[in-house]
This record gives sequence, structure tokens and C-alpha cells, in this order.
Amino acid sequence: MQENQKPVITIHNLDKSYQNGRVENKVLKGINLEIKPGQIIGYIGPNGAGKSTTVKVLCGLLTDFEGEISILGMNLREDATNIKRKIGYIPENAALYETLTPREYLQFVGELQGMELNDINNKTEKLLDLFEMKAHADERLNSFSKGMRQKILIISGLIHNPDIIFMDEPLSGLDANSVIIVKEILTQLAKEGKTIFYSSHIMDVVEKISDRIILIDKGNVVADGSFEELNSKASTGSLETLFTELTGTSGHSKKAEEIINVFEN
Amino acid sequence: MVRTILFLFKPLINAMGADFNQVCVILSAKLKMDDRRSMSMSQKGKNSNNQLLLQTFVYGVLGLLIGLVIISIKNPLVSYTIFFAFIMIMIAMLMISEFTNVLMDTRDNGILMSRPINSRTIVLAKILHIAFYMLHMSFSLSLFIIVITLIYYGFIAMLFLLLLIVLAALFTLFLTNIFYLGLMNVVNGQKLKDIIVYFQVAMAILFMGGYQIMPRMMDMYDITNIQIPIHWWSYLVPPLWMSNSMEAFINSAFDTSHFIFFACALFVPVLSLIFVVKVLAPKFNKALAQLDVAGSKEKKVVKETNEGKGFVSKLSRLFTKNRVESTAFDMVWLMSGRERKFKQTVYPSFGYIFIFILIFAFKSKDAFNMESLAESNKYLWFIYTTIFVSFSITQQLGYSDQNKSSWFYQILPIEKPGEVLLGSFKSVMIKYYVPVYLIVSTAAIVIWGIPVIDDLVLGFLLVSIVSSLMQSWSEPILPFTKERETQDAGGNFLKGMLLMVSAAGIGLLHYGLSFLPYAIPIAIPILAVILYFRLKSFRKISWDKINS
Repeated sequence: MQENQKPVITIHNLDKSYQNGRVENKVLKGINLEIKPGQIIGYIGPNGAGKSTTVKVLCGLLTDFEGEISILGMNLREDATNIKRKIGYIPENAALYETLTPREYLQFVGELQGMELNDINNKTEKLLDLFEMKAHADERLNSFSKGMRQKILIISGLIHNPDIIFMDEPLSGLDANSVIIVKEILTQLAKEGKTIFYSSHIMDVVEKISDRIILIDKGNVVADGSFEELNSKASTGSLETLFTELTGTSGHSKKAEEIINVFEN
Repeated sequence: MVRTILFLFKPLINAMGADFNQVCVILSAKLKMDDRRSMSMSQKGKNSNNQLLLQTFVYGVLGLLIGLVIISIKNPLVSYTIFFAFIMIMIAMLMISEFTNVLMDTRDNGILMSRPINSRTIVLAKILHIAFYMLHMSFSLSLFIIVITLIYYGFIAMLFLLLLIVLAALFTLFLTNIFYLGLMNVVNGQKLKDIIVYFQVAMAILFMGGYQIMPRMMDMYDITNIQIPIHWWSYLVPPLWMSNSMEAFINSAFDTSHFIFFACALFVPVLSLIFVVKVLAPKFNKALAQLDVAGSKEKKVVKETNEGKGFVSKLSRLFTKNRVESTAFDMVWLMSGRERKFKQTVYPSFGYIFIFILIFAFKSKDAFNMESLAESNKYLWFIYTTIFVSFSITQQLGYSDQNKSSWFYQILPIEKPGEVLLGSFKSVMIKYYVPVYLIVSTAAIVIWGIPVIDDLVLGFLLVSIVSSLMQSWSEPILPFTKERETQDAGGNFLKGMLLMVSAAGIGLLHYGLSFLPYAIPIAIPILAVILYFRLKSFRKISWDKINS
């Protein structure tokens, strides 16, 4: 079904560098991707591979990139504001306006997304209740635990009912029940035709929810396919093994042994 | 409220390419957050304007002091030129020292930039946010002059002055924006923040010194009768645009020259604001996004060399008694040089010493006459101005930007936290206070000769004892473990008072002793013993006394 559909995200030769004094640090090196609607993309890679940078570029947070990106048929460079109306962004541990309460923060976000006040209030009440946050609706965010803050980030990324949801380690700090609920939400949203771009380095979750897994390392796509396709390529048949094989980080047990030796001697 | 006020400027906001509704939403949220920032976490929802009132008072007093000088000038052009120069410099300095965090708030990148908001809206909201405080600041500083203008020249002149103040504030905002953009192009995020610290230091010194020295300067140089001739370059001096417009209004001088000045005063600030929002905004946001990256993930690696560390460990071996104390000594030595907040609050005190010695020099016109100085006993001034340094280092030692990293004190097997306090006290005193005291002592010996040496020793002991009391009294704070509220001017005021009283108290004690024969040579060993036991008593401070 997806084969015939037009891609909702097209990335062509995406390069992104950070200038560090006179040194240029190239983080993304020519990423090319096409993503169809209704897909859950697991975007994985080791620390520093360029996952968060890709997500930030796609969400319009980083504007100075090379290459062409089209989202929902609009050019990201020319039409970023309109694109942002239709996407949601759920980062990990991101800053919040600490002195606001969840209710105030969600109203703030909703208004910026152009939602009607009634709609914002209705959704806020319901979502805070469903995420078991209603009792804390009028407490300031600076008193919240990591998991509670993450719930607010999730609600604020979804409140305007976006067509594409970009997530960067969204389950960070959530308890087991909340993780299950969020995974379920993602699966159901995908069924409704929403596209989910899920960046993480936690294989377990990616394995379970993704239709398609893209593995990047040092700014390059090194593997792209369904879980089954990628699994068949790994020597021991697990995503974790494939990950270590492709990113060249094998030999973990030997390294662990060496570290313990240093501690003990 | 915000929406109602902004509604008046809706066409202008839209013309700048910003979204009116979004500007209102962002600005309301920001003002609400500012209101709450100074309150404790437990308080919900309530609003507080105490901070703003206190600031109005402080700026009002400052404005009054300058205003008193200004009204002594007969020529309105000169007086208003000085007034506008004062307002513009103050705004620029305060913008850089107090509102950098607002302008450079990179938290907005994650929160706002992923939403459908264009960069013009973000920048305009930021500018209006700052403008709110800036106008409040400008009007507080100008309060006295506004009232004087009303009395001397009438209501309409006052309204005209208000308009000119707003325009001056807007133009200063533009200039500081340019300054930031320029700076962001040449330095990275960390460096920029360091540069801002030096501005804050300069600001603090200027604040302290400005109104202490200026009236004396006025006395020395007769500025009440000066004139300001108009040259071609006068049209390039912003305070002259404003003051000439005011003069034109007061004296009904509607000639070409005054007309040009007025046109500059009116159009340049408005056009510059449009320029900021339309042209500079995207650049600013882009630079800010880079700053965010530079400040977080892709941090520039700052390599610290081991140079000088041998010297520090020699010092710590010499002055400390055990491992905990010496480790604290070394750690505080290193961190105090790198902690931005520490530098920001401590460095101005070095300037204060200089200013207070200058004030003392300005006291009479022949103050620079070394002979008359040498005959006086004013070396006590030299000694006790150094208390600014010792107090500020011991007071600031507990505060940090990275206060959250302080948990390790709790998990380390430290039996006596007092040893950490003692090591850190010795470290900052030796690193900051001793060199300053040596410089001041050298100057004192050059002026007053060898006989003042015993006074200098006595002064050092007294200041050290009082400073050690300041650091360890009530609930001492372990080094770099507390977060400082950014604007606790009230608390600072009380501490300032305490500082003055302590300095005056020990100064008077010293002064009294100097009249008794042999009192000083006798007091020195006694105070040395007191200091010894004072420092020893640090070790008794247990965990339950520590403010954590």
C-alpha cells in the first residue's frame, strides 16, 4: 500500500557541519532518504552519529544545512513555518519554561500552534488526565521529575495533532507503564496514517515498534530496511549485533574485562 | 493587559512581518515567568512585583543623584545632553549586564523554533520583553528629570521628553543588538559569555564609582557654564539628537539644524527597530542556534594546561593540614578561576578598592599632594577598602552556575565538612586577597614609610578574622554548591550594609588602638592567636550545620 504513496519526507544529500573555531566538524555526510506516510521509522545509531542533528534539521531548529529537504510537499528552507504547523517534535530532556505549570505551558504551546483556546483547554484536561498528570496540573514544572517532564514534552508535541511526529529519545525517564502506553500510542497513530520518525539508541524499543529501521554512523546511513531485512544480515540475528557490526564497536566483553581490571588493580 | 497595550501597535507589528497573536502569547508567558522567577518553588500562581519596585527605587535614586548635578547646569542643551548620554549608556550597560540572558536565552530554540513561528516574531517578542524592562529602567532613571521638566517647562514638554526617552531607549536597543551580532560573529558561545562577565564587572564598577566620583568631578571642573557648539559631526551623536530636539521645543528654536536633529531623533530609532526585526532577526536567530550548539553538544573543547598546578599544590601543602583540606584548597583554586558567576561577582570588588581610594583622593583638591597625604593617617582607608575583596570572595564562594554537581560532597566519605570550608577559605584568601593586600601595602609603605607595617599586619589579621566569621557563621555553604537568584538585589543590599558596618567597625577599632601606646604591637600576637583558633574552629563544623 505504501509503495504507491508519495513520500512525506524527502531528504536529498543532507550535509550538516558545525564550526568549532576554525575546525569544521561534519556531522551529516550526504543523507538521502524517502519516507512514506504511516511509517514508523526507527532512526538509530551510536552516540554522536548525527541522529539528533538530523531530527533538529528536519524540525527546522537548525537552518544552515546543505542539501534539499521536502516535508509534506513543502521545501523546508522556504516554507519552514507552514511545515511546523503540521509536525510535532518530542525531544529528550529538553528545556521547558520552568516556572510555568503544565496547564499554562500547554496553553502557551497550543496558542503558538494556532489552536483555539477551547480546543487547547479540552485537550489539555483530557491528556493530563490520561497521562496521570492531572494532580500536578497547577504545579510548576521546575518541581517535576524527569519522567513527569517527559510526559509534558510528549503532550506538547502531540497536542496540535501533527501529521508527522519527530521523536528524539522520547521515552527517556518514563516508567514502564508509560513506556507501554506511548509505544501503543505510536502504533495507533501510525495506523491512522501519521508518520513517526523515532530517533533512539535503545534497540529494544526500536525493534518492537518500527516498520523500517535506518541505522546511521558517523553521519552516513549504513543500513536501511525492515527489522526482518536487517536481522537477516546480522551474524547472530539480532539488531544489537547488527548495530555493533556496522558501527564497528564490537569486542564489548573484552573492553569490559579491561575496565574491571583497572578498577581492581 | 499585554495584548491590550500591544494592540495599539498591531499595524506596526504586522508591518514588521511578525505575527501579532504569537508576539502577545510569548510576551505574556515571559513576563509571567519573570514574575515568578524570584519566588520560591512552593508558591503557586501568585504574582510579585516587589523586585520591580525595588529596582524602581534603586534606579530612581541613581537618577536623582545624576539629576541633581544636571539641574545645576544652566544651559538646557548641555543638561539634556548629559541626561540622554547618561540614559543611553546606562541602558546599554544594563542591557549587556542584566539582559544578556533574556536576549541569549537558547532554551527558546527548542521550545519556540520547533513551532510555526517565524524568526521575526521570536526576535520582536524578545525585543519587546527587554523593552518592557528597559523602558521601566529608563523611566525610573529619568523620574527626577521628568518631574523637573514638568515643573520648569510644563506638561507638553514632559510628554515630549517621554517620547524622546522611548526613542533613545529604542536606539540603544538597536546598538546593543548590533554589538551582540558583531560579537557572535567573532567569538563562540563560551567566549561570549566570558566577555559579558567583564561587561558586568565594568558595569558594577561604573555604578559604584559613577555617582561617587561624578559630583566631585563637577566640583573640580566647572561644567555648569559650559557650552556645546554644533559641528558637522554633532549630527552623528545620538544624545545630541535628543537634547537638541528638547532645546528646540523649550526655546521654540525651529531652524534647519534643530529640524535635522529632531528628524534623526524620530526616524533613526524607528527605522533601526524595523531594521533589527526585518534584517537582523534571522541572522540573530541563526547565530543563537549556533550558540546553542556551541554551548551544549558540540562544546568547544577548552583544554586546561597543567601550568602553575605545581605551585598551587606547593601552596596547599604549605597552608593545609590534611588531604581533605588540601584537596578543597586545590579544587577551589582551580574552579574560582573558571566559575563565571564567581568571577562576575568577585571581580568588581577589585575595582571598588580602586574607586574608594580615588574617592579618598578626590576628597580635597590637594589630595594628590603626597606630602600632605603622608602626614595624615589615612592609610587606614587603604587597609580597609581591601575588605571588599575578602568579603566578596568568602560570600560568593558558595555559589555556582553548576550548583547541581554538588551532590558529590554528600556521597564522599568526608567526616568533617568544616575541613572543606577551611581549605576553600584559605585558597581564595591566598589567591585573591593576599595579592591585593600586598599591592595596597606596598603603596602604603611607599607613602607612609616603614612605620605603617605593624598597622598593615594588624589590618590583615582583623580582616581575616572577620572574613572567616562571615564565611562560617550561621549555615555555611560548601564551595560552589548553591544557586544564586539572579536578581536578589534586596539580599545584596543587606549584605552591603553588613559589609560597610563591619569595615567601619574594625576600622574604628584599629583607629582607636592607634592612639594607645604599644597597643598595636601587643594586639598583633593576640589577634594572630585568635585567627589561629578561629581557623581551627572550622574543623568543628559538622554536617548538620551545613546549608545544603
